[in-house]
Amino acid sequence: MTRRRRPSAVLAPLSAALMMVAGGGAATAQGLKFEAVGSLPGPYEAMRVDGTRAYVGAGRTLTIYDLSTPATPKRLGSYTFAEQVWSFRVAGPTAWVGVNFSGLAILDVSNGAAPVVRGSFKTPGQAKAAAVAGTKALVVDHMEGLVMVDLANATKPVGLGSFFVEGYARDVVASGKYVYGVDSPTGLYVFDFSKSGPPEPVLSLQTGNNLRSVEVSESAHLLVAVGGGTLQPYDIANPAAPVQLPGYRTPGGAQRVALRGALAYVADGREGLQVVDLATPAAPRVVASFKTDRMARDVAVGDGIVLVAQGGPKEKQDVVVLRQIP
Amino acid sequence: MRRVRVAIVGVVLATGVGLSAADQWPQFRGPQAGVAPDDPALPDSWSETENVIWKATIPGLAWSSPVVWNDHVFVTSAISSGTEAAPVKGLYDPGAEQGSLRSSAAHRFMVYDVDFATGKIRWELELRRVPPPIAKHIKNSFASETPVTDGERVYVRFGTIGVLEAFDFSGKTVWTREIGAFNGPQQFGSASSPVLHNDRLYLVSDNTTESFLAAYDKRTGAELWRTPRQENESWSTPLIWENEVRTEVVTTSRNKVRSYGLDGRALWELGGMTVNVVPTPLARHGLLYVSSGYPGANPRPVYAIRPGASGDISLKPGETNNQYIAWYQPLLGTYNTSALVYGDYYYTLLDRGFLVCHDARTGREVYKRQRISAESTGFTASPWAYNGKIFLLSEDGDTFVVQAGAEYKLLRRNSLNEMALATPAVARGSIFVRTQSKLYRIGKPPR
Repeated sequence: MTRRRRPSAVLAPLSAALMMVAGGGAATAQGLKFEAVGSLPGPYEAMRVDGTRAYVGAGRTLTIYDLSTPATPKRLGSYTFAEQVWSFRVAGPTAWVGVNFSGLAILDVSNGAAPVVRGSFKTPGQAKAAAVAGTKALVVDHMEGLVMVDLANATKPVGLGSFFVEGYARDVVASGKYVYGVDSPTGLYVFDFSKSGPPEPVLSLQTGNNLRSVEVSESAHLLVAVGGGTLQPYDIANPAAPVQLPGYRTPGGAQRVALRGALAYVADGREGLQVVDLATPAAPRVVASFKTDRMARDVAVGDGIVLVAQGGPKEKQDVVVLRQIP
Repeated sequence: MRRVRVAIVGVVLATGVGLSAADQWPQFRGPQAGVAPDDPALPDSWSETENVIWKATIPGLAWSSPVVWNDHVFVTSAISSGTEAAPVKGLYDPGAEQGSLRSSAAHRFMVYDVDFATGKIRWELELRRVPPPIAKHIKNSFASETPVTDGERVYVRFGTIGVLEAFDFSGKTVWTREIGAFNGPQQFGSASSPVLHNDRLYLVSDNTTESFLAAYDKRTGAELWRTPRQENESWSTPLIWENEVRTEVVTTSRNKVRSYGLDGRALWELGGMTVNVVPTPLARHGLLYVSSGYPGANPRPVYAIRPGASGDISLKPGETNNQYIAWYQPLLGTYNTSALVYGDYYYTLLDRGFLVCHDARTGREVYKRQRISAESTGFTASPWAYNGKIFLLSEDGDTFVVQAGAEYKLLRRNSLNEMALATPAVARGSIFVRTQSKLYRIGKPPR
């Protein structure tokens, strides 16, 4: 790996971020507890929480739920695409959806009861995920790699070129003007979206961890990728030059992660939900857990709530709504 | 006078009199691993109508390649009596089931003899009519093994139904062997083709039931020996490597390359391969080239190997060569396509549409990854070459013509507008391109 920062320089921002998220006092992370208060019906393939809403993708359909009362989630509406929804990200009124060979779809979710597609862009192969920074998106395409799309006019997105990754592109996430992409097995790619022209990484790190998904915590200056059952954190205090931190193998084998500050909420397979404190990068530790009935495969975190998708490919699938006990 | 000369040529072609082994294309990729003899009669441009001498409709679905001997063009196919999932172009993610599919519909497992001159089907033979006993990958076919011929008989393997069969050129069965319908752990089906050497037919079957390399008497089908193998999955066709030291049977598979003597005795082995090994080994310039390149793996190796090895010749950590490995590239291996060595260069056609060139003797990079076409969905057929040009057939049915040599230059694109995964054959001024439903004989029209 590349250079390592001095421990103190890494720890300071992470600790501060943890205190912010936990409401003051790092000790509170130890006291995290959850209770199951509700559920969403399965099956599912992808899941996000944004504000008081949950978004669940299953097959060709993305369904929106109101979680204002977590114990009784209310289905608001749904949108059925022409093809499979692989993954998506949501920010306020817009969801960017990877719709297989149909490409990237820009879904207006401002009216949860009647989401509507504002625009779409066909990538060369299978669109599987997307992240947006400013007016540009980076789309994961299984065949092509990472495809950049100009969304200045959302009704008429324009392709800006692509970057071929050595392995299979898996996921992308945005933070400020930077977009981070992962592929398996090769590693992490950093793109500066303030630059014009086709996508060209400003940095790539070879990790060999078979990375599958990636999330970011701006407050904790953390980027966490998941691959091979392991959390692979990066310090992004300098967002253009992530520094790889020690990987952490979770008890059940991490499937996906959601971040709140320096806490990593991990869908941890047969071990259910595991919450890993990454505030001390050299010593990640599990600070809370919740045993699900079936294999935990995905996780999303909102204010005071955690959604855990459970059920393997041949099991009953649903989403457990957990309330964080104060 | 001119009319007489044409008539004589016609007779020669029809009877095969005067044709040498170099005029034939008897096996997958031909006798020289995709390199055809230069021939000014061979075209480098074609379309669905231009330079098409004939096209024949071949029913069913098969990604096996045509083979050519004299006035016979042999192809295989599997024809379903039901409705099957359509193959999808590109190197795509089939989702949770990883693309493994079963079919409950009865399939007709077929061999066709197509007339070289006219494209008419001379005879067809149905080997079996049964539902496929094993599953396959959605992008595989139930007839992906290419036949091989010695000019007297044609030898056909259908791994799907576990049959190895020999026919004479009139379509009469000479012998049949039931070798078992076995699958690998991922249930992706079969594809490794049989190969001929002298009086023997060699076959690799890597599976979870009973992996083996076997040699058969080509006249009788008698099994001469069978060597158990530890590998449980591969789609690569073995290579008979006649080198300056000896003749070997080289096999590439998940994790290991293994080479055997013609008696089935293990000679040497090499670790470091990826899962899902498809490319077929080839030999040129006194070197053996083996590779594998599942895109989700690292490394995706290419090894150039000198003859005479014994035991385990695997590289130690940090090594890029040793006594028997002349050179090694850790991230050059392809998933489906086999490499092409043409002249001094080793060409790599990456499945996702790039061409890379290395020095065949040293492994030095000659040119970096070149994007062939932004519109192509992918490449599975292996490249071929003649007349100083390299031919790259995409899954869209577009053949991209690239100049051979140290500088990448795309010359043209020839479109047949139908999905194509089979590697073409080249023989006597014609190219035989198999698309999903058709077999084309491409050639310059007679003047």
